[in-house]
Amino acid sequence: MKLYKLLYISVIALFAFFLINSILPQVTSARPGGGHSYSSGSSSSSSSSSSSSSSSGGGTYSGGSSQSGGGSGEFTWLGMLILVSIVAAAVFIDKYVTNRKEAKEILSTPTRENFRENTDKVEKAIKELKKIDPNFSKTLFLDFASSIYTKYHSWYDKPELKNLVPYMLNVRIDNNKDEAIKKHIYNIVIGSIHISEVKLQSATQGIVVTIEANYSVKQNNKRTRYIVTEKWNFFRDAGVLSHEPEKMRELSCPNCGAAANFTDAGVCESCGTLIKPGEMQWELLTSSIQNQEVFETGGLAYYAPEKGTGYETLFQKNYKNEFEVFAKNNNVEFEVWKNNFETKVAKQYFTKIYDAWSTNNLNVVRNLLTDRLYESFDFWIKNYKRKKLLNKLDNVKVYKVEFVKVDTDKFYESVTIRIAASCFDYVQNKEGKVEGGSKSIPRVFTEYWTFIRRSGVKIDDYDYSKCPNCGAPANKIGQTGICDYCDTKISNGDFSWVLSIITQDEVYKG
Amino acid sequence: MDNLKNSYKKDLYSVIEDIESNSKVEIVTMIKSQSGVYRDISFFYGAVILFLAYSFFMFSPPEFDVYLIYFFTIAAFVIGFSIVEFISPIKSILISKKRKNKQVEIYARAIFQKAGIRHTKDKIGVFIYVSVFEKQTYIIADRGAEMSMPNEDWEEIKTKFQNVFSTPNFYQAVIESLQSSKPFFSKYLPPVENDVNELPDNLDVDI
Ligand SMILES: [Zn+2]
Ligand SMILES: [Zn+2]
Repeated sequence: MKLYKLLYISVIALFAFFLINSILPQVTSARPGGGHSYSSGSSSSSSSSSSSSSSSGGGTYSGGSSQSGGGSGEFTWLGMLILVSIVAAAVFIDKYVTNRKEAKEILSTPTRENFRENTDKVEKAIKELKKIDPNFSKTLFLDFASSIYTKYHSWYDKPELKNLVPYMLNVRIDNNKDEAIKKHIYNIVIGSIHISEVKLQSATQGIVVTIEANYSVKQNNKRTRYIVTEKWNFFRDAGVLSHEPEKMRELSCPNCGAAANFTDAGVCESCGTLIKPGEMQWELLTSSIQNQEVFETGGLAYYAPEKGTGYETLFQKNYKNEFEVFAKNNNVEFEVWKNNFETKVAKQYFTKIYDAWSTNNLNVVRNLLTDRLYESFDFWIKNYKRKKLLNKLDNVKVYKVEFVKVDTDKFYESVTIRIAASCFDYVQNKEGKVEGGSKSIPRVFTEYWTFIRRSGVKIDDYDYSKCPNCGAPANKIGQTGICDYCDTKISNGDFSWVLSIITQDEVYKG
Repeated sequence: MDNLKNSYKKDLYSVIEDIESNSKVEIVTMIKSQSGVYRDISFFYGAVILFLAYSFFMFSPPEFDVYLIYFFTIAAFVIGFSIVEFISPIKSILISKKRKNKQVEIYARAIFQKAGIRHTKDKIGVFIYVSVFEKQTYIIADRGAEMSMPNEDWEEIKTKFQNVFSTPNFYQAVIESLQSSKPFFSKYLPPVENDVNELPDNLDVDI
């Protein structure tokens, strides 16, 4: 039984009680044509004790003369009670009616369970795909999709867009002759990207990617920043094999491997081959925007309540078995590897990255992050800086690390853990004043972290202050993730683990 | 309770997923407890009862205390208001069918708009709106979907959904109605290769 029903019934019961209690003597004592209520006031004055109450309450009882003075006092009390009840009832009705306004609804959107089933379906399909195409790597595919996404937007108004002809069915250069209203898209940041559907058909194979991103559009010298969620639908002819990492990461001719430089018709300038979409590489068939909104920096200090911390951990199907296989491939004892990874990789990365974030200084952890994650962090840090804010994360404590998923393909290994931690999470301004969050109440939260590493690399932990390749100080690794000393890209996971994805509980789908 | 709702939601989505994997249609279904608040009706009948009670106290032969009149007329209003406001069958009788139908249509159209169901390239969005209090179903098919099927068949689908109110298990009936309309969609709006669900997973229906 709901509280409001109880309240409602008790109010009604009170009324009923009052009704019976008062109507009965009322009827017997009513005098046809008798004096009005104030006339009986004299009777109450006879009982001096209640005179004050009766004068203020004004002849409470028309038949009071026949009753004792005490009766009239009781009646006033009851009257007050009724009044209070009415007010209470009114307040409650108002509240209840307001609740009703947000009437209960059931909308046919996917539940966590539906998402879970979809993830299983996608994973199963990827396994199938790997059987047909042993070169397929989820990590590389997502890198490829990201690169097409970024290039498409940054080349939107430029002649280079023709280089995407082999990868997109409908490339359309913004031929707007009017420079003033031509759109220029820049600062493209991909916040998250994941595979939401895999379709293995007899003639073609399709992969749908969901991308959350934000970018700026300059038009008529005015700048607007958008946050978007888009679905990009890639496909290729069945039987095409995936390319090696170098050809997947950088846009290059799928035939000769030269850097992408195509004619308007899609002929490679280097080898002269006509690259028809989908014949040698994934091609974008359609894309659709699912959500879009204008980005405002006003919400930087806003804290939404933590969601999903209480959710059960989502483990990969047969995860224990999968981890055993992973350990065997790497010639390690799973338990030993796990303990080492937890203390020397997971917890280290976690505290280092949180510290770096806290000081608006991402450079010190550049070697621990993939390009995409770095760019997305960098976007937020830049916004905090622009607003002269600092998102402090103090007293970081890691409570628990769970190993939930492992994925291995020909080129990459990925390990996902769920980390439970707490910290004082707040946003402060230049003067050190807290503008959001709390310095005294720790925020308890959990996150899913996915690390990637090139297959075959055995190194788990290393001196994180040094370049994992040349051993020089890791202080000259720029935005691109290339060590200035040895001129080698280290953000691809070619030497050890790099953190590639952070997912919040409420959005993690397995 | 929440678990029950969740498992129902899961089933509802699964049925739609099944239809959509056999058709290019994009269906959104919403079951809402009511499409309007109709509080004016409750106020009106509260006032009527208040008036009756007041008239009774004023003109009936026995003389009443002013307090009694004061409290009882207020109480009469609260009781009259509450009876209409909280007892749905009574409220439902007091509201004209025309008004209820109009309210359901307005609400359905508003959600169709707000949720962006019209944002499919081929205009193949279909919104099935079921309003419980009004006992009304309202189906909005976007242009492409509407034109792809004879009206007679649309009417048949609409009748299926309208009939859910006369079944003992209403919620199950909604799912069954969806299942039984599947052949219509797969016949007239057959699936296309490399088709992608264009509507987002998190529809904004806050109006
Ligand atoms: Zn070439
Ligand atoms: Zn180096």
